[in-house]
Amino acid sequence: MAEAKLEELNQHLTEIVEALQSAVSWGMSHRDEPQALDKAVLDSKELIDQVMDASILTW
Amino acid sequence: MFTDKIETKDVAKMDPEYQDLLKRVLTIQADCEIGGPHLYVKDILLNAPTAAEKLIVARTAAEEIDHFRKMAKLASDLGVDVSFLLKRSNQERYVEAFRGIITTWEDHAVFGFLIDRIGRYQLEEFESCSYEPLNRILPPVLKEEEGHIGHGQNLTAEMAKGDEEQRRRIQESINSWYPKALDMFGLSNSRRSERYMHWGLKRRTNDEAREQYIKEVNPLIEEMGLQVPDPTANRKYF
Repeated sequence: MAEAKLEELNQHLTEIVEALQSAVSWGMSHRDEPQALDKAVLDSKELIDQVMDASILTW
Repeated sequence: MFTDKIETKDVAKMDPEYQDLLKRVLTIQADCEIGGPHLYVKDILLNAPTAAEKLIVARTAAEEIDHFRKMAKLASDLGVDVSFLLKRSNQERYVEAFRGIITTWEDHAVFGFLIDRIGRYQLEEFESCSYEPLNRILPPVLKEEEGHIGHGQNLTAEMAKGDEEQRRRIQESINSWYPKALDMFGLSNSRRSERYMHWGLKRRTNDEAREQYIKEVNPLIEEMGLQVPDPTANRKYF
């Protein structure tokens, strides 16, 4: 992978991690709201899956 | 013993052995960081016992992905592309402990307790190492790894206080992961390990690190009222 693409991957991963941490923090701060918690979990799963199935490499 | 401190711009001037070992260790570390989420996200994230635990699994995965990103960036700065590790199957991982899949909450807990602890040992090898960019990224990575270990340890201890069936299941997980954990340190007489130490990229021999790990973890298992497995049973590397 070319240097520019590796830099782009680093940037994408940074954004995914920030979005994940944000989803987790939001969920934790809504512990007493089951629907909000479920949404935070599903949002997190969707973000992690972008890394796990490597679709991030085709962005 | 090499004691200089090396920056990225100086690596190309270093002995080829140093360059090879540095690139190798960064690639393996990146593989281990991304190998963790690949083990537990699929079956554990949505099946953790509570919503809060699901979020903790997600946070742990986020931190491991970020550790991968940091190691991948260091490798990339040396001209090494480790992006292939993102799509590698579990069976192709460098370290055997990452080649399966975690399907039970007990295994997830013990993975944090025993295997993430080895992650800490591996990272500690790099403390004050000869490659300065690696030194600089360590403090937050180590702190997050401590969090994963602590959470895994707490979950394991909690399950060890459960009913007979729960205790049987958590003991089974300990029995399964303990030999894999000890094997992760590699061969005691590893020539490559000596070369890592020579170049200031590691601090301890494989055997020293393994012995320290045993001294640290065995009392913790005993305090939980669980049995420490035979350290020579089901092992592949001595």
